[in-house]
Amino acid sequence: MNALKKNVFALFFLLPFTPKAQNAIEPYIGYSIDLANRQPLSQVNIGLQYPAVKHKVYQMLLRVQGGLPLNKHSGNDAAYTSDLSLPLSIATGYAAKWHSAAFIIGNRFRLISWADKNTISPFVNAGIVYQKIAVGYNSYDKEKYTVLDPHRSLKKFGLCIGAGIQYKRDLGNGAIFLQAEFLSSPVVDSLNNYNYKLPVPLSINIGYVVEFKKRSK
Amino acid sequence: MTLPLQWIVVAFILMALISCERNDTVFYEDDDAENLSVFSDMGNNVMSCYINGHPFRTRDRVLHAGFSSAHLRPEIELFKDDAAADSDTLTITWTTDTNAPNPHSVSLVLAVKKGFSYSDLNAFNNMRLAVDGVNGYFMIDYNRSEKGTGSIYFLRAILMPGNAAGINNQLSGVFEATLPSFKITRGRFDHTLPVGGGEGVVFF
Repeated sequence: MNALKKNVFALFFLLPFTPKAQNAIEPYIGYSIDLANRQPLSQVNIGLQYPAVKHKVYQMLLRVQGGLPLNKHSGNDAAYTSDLSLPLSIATGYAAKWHSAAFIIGNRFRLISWADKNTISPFVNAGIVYQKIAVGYNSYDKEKYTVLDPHRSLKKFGLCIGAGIQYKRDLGNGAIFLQAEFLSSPVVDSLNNYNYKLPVPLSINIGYVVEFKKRSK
Repeated sequence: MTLPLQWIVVAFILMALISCERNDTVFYEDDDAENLSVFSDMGNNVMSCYINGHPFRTRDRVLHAGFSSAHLRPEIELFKDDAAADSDTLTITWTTDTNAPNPHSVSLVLAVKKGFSYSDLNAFNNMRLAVDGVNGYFMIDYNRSEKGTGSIYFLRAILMPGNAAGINNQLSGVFEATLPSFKITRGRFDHTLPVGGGEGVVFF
């Protein structure tokens, strides 16, 4: 826990001391696939990014993002009992679903723009991510049967980094954007899981820049 | 007075050798059984169960390496007693840490044929048997005055005479037992079985 506090503390040092130009929020929705595991896992992400620092070619973004499972990885494991009055083994169905949540600080740089409306901006991210692959089994007699080499849930929290690229088109009053990005798995001491690796999401998000007028004093 | 650098290096190497230790136990907690290990056949070198509802798990298998010898502190030991005239006795004992709450060991005592050998252990492979008090019994903390009955399933019971130190020597399974004062539930075990010598857990 102390190590975690240290990490969070370090991240907050990255925040700007003088945030300015609080004039837009960027909600988005997207699709992620996990590049790390053999079993195909995917999720829908919903997020919000806020340009805390906004210069002409550079923006610092604060992002929160959550991911909900779109599909599940399922299969059967064998469970055994020593009780001679019962069948030696039964098949137990399991399903694994991928959830995630993240707080990210992004650094976005305007690279190319044309026709005053279109912008392409690469960005790099660092933050804290929670990744969870939740495994559930179908109902079976857990007092009598024990699953051999069961699929175990994986829940980890840690620092992450990432990168991506964004295309933005200005609509006059607001803008739409499309961004593709990947995020590393969280840095953890021990995985302690033989079934799953920590997910490495590759995401495609589409969003809208909601602009607010600055107050005149 | 200054020590030559090479002597300082040698001293550090010797200190590292003295403190060398290897843990051969891997504990993956079962999502469906709090504080118990998963039931596995990967050679995780752990047994766990509930005894009267309280979790019991074996100590870690630790190999302490010294200058000239290695000392193994195993979590499981298999002994054969061949003192009787007409049959032998095979005792499997699982031991927990000495500072763990009571009890400290769980044993299964099985009557086996006279001249029971390494290869005879293979007959238990994929075998489920009732431990009825006649062909064997369970006991806790070597208390033979309180014998228990139950059942055990050996998913793997492999002891290859020609492969005495290899990972193929395996013992894994599940069990449950009832003793006069104890009820053992949801037992599961998974071990490799080094044979004899300084790193052995099998002694017959």
